[in-house]
Amino acid sequence: MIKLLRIILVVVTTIVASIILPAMLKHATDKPITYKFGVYSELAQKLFYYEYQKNNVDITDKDGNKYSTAGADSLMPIYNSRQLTQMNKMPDSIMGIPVTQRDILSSTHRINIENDYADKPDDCVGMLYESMPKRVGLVMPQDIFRFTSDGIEFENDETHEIDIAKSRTFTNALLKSGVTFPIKSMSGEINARKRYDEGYFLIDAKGELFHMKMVNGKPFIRNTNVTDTLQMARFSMSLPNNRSYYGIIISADSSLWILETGDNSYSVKRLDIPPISLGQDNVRVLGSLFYWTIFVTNDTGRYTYILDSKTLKRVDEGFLPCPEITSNKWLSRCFFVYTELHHVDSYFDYPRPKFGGWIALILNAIIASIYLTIRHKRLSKRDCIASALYLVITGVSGLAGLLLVPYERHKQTIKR
Amino acid sequence: MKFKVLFTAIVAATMAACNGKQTQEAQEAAENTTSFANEAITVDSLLSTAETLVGKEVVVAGKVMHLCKRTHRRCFIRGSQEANLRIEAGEELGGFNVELIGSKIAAKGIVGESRLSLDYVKEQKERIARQEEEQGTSQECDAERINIEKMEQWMAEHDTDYYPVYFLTASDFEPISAE
Repeated sequence: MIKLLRIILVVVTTIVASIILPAMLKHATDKPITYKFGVYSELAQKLFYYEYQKNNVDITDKDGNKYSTAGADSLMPIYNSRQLTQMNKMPDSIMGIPVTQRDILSSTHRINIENDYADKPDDCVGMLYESMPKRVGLVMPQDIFRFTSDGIEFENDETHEIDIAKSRTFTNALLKSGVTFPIKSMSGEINARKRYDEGYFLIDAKGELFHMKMVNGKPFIRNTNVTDTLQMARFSMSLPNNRSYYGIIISADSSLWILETGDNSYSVKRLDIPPISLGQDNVRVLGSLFYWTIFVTNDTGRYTYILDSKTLKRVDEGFLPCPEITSNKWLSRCFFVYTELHHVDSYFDYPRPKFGGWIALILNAIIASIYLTIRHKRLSKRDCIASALYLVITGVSGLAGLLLVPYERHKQTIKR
Repeated sequence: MKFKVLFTAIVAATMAACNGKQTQEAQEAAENTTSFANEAITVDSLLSTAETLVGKEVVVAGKVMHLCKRTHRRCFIRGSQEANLRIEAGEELGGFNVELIGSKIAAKGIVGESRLSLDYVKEQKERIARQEEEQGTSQECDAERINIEKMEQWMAEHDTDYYPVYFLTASDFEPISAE
């Protein structure tokens, strides 16, 4: 019985060590993954890469040709507009279109979709600003709202009283506009520093996308009717300075669409890139006056897509493979088998064995040899063989388990 | 014991009545904000009797054809005919949202009048003529010239030295339909 308990103790210690030791090694050897930054040249009409070093920057095009900083500045006037303006070299027009610094700034925007986007819980409360304030600047609302199974509730954030009249007015307006409760998800931009407000977009029980905002204290609810074109999965609001779109839609087939603003209509335009893998891909969209640059980064590497800003059709693309991860190299050399808690393909953290590398068996064999050299006099032949096999498989983690069990206790069990 | 039960019942009933009253008041308040769209007259009807309505509060309904996207404080609605009515956002309103374009709205406000003098109309006519000489005729010039001629014709018919332009300073509005 005592021997069994000791074996259990050794095994448990080994498992814990197989979690902690690889994590420590990973922490000590991990380096951030950096990719070259892709920029599209409006004048050369091709993709360039900027690699930022400590004190300089290497600029190459897609074919591998190198450029000096001064040479590259003129080829990418939008990206280098501030530098060119300072040097008085900024052109008045680009591709035949007159351009000012103000045009460039107002058309620049970005959207981020992180790879844990699918796992994030939706906002359960929101703040509805007055989208048409009488004075310049948005005023922080005094209440918050939440959706219930059959309506909307506004609650004063200080007294926590429900504003029954306002809740009823908005609920009636939502029902009148055709919203089917309960609301599946909502997306808004809760940012006190945003330049304007467009309320929230709601996905109702039937998968329809509705626009909800407060205009002059009254509810404005409108069905976008985008489900005539696509099947909604998720919507993420993003408000650019030029008010050209409301946000980004991820459809059921994982394509990305932009919900554009327009006169009395909500139109959608598909981004001409392959469908993304929610949960694995990081997507970053950098929009400018003429082109959108989209970076899709995952375990394999970084895809760069260049889209025309008007049509959102692809004009160029590039791929950079993922550099070798230093910590993975060390883990494969030091551990034949180890345990991981966090997994990209699961919502939960739990211990799961992971294969390291065959080369780690050499280290394990060395560890087993050293252990037996020191302890062979105190162990029986059977214990020696068992310990050797155990250490060849578990390596450093197993050594930690065996060392924590004092050898004097082993001595008691030896039958000579 | 009986007194305690009776007292508790009275207190509970009073609290329920108060809460009920508050809920009822709130419901009534919400329901009493009834739509004024039912009282709306058409743009054509307003423009045909506009001179008698100056300074009075009216409710007018029409389709939003244009909206100032810079300030959001002005829009134009149209009735069944070609005539448009300009609506300015009054002090009570923050503005008109862009999604209203193409929608039918009902706006409540005071009818106002601004007068274009005969001299002003003549100046515009001369300006258009100069423009046509310098740049040649264009659709825009033609449309402006036709408008000026209509104004002159109206002034001649009514024997006035001004052309009235009617507008509405809105204190409230509500969307009627999306189309």
